Amino acid sequence: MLTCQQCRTEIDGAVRAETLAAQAREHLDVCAACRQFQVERRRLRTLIGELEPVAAPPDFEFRLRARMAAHERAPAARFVWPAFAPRALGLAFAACLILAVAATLRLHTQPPLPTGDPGAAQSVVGPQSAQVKIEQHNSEATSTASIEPNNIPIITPTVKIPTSGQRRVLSIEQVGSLHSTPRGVLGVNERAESESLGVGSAPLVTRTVADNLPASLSTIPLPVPNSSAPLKVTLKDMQGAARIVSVDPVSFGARDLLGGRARVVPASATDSQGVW
Amino acid sequence: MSALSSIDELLLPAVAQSPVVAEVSSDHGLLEAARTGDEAAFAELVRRYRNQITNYVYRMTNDYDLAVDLAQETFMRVYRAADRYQTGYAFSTYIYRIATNLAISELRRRKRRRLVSLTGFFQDREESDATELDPADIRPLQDVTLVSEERRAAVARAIATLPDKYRAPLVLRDIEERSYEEIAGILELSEGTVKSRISRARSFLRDKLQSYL
Repeated sequence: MLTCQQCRTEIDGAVRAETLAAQAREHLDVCAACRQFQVERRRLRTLIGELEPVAAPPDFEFRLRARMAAHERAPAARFVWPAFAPRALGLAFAACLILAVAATLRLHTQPPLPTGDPGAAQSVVGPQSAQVKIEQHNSEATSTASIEPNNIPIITPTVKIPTSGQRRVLSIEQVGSLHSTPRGVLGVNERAESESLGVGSAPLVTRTVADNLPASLSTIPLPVPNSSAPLKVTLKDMQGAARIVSVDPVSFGARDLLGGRARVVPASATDSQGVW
Repeated sequence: MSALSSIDELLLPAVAQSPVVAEVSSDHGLLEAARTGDEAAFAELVRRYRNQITNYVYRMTNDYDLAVDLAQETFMRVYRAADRYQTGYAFSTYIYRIATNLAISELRRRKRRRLVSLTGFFQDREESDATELDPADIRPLQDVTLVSEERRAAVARAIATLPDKYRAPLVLRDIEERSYEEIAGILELSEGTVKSRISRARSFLRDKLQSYL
């Protein structure tokens, strides 16, 4: 005797009731539930059998040929945009929203820039111009070099330059790369290494000062490509005497560095070791 | 196979058939002939299977236009892949497998794109596939034709709402009357799995069509 499960499997597999196995028919004689199951299956099959078959349209072949011809003419010229699921688009939108909120929060949580020091704000800006002031005192043969990028407080390191030379060369150099062509470049004289930082030297920007330097204050504008990078200013005369002025970079929280702590390192034959 | 070059070639040879078609009657032979460039042989294959494939895809999708479109796509794939066709199994298994894959892919694509329509409540029942929320109207109708039409529509909708993995074997078995062995070949399943899924599909249908049984 079959179980109900086996009998129902037989009923599902049989095309007609007459083709049922003898054991299944014996089970049906004694099992009302399986008989009901058989009746329902028979009615269901009748319902499905009432579905009228659908035929292809009369122009099926014509349309198929046209489609094949079109495909043959342009087989590879099609580009189908990928069909993104709405869920993927939603996730992308949510990710963009999260990034926007995070960026906004980060901007709002940064400490405000000091209002009295606009130079700090400008330190993140690109190339700026600077000014070098040279004060020459005939009696002591002393020159003073000052770096004044726009509104940055003046740094006044003192460099002693021999007065014998009538022609001076001011060189300004920054560690790092230049992002634009500096203004007022007259030539490249030399390159200094900054080995202590392990960074290659930047192009040397040179400006030639007028031959007859007045004894009073002279202002010579020089380009400063990036005030947030370390800076070297080299003063030379035409006899080869040179002085290098090192200026600490201007950056966030570096206001104290601008308070007259710029270092003055005398140039010598061993300056290739770097001054930073 | 040669490419079509003009619109004049789109008309199939309705009466005059090539000698190859007259001699070769098996599907394999027709496909072999089509592979060598015999357009009439391929046209004969289309004539043999166009209605079956259209009906099968229609029962899978419950959308006639889509069914015709997918049936044509099925024949296009057969035509393009004729060089790679292997005669290891029946051509009918081969073409039904292509049609099944196309229909299931399209159904899944539509399911992903389905959105909640605010006007869905006002649409005709024929346009809606929400059979579960649409109980049958058991009031007696005057016109017997209307009754039978409505019953057929309900059955079609009930089949269309079956899960894909149950719908295909049920349609192949109860509508297309394919053997279990052939269904197993089309769906690339074991016969036991096919029988189990058909039984499950019928149980789903019985629940959906309780008022008609």
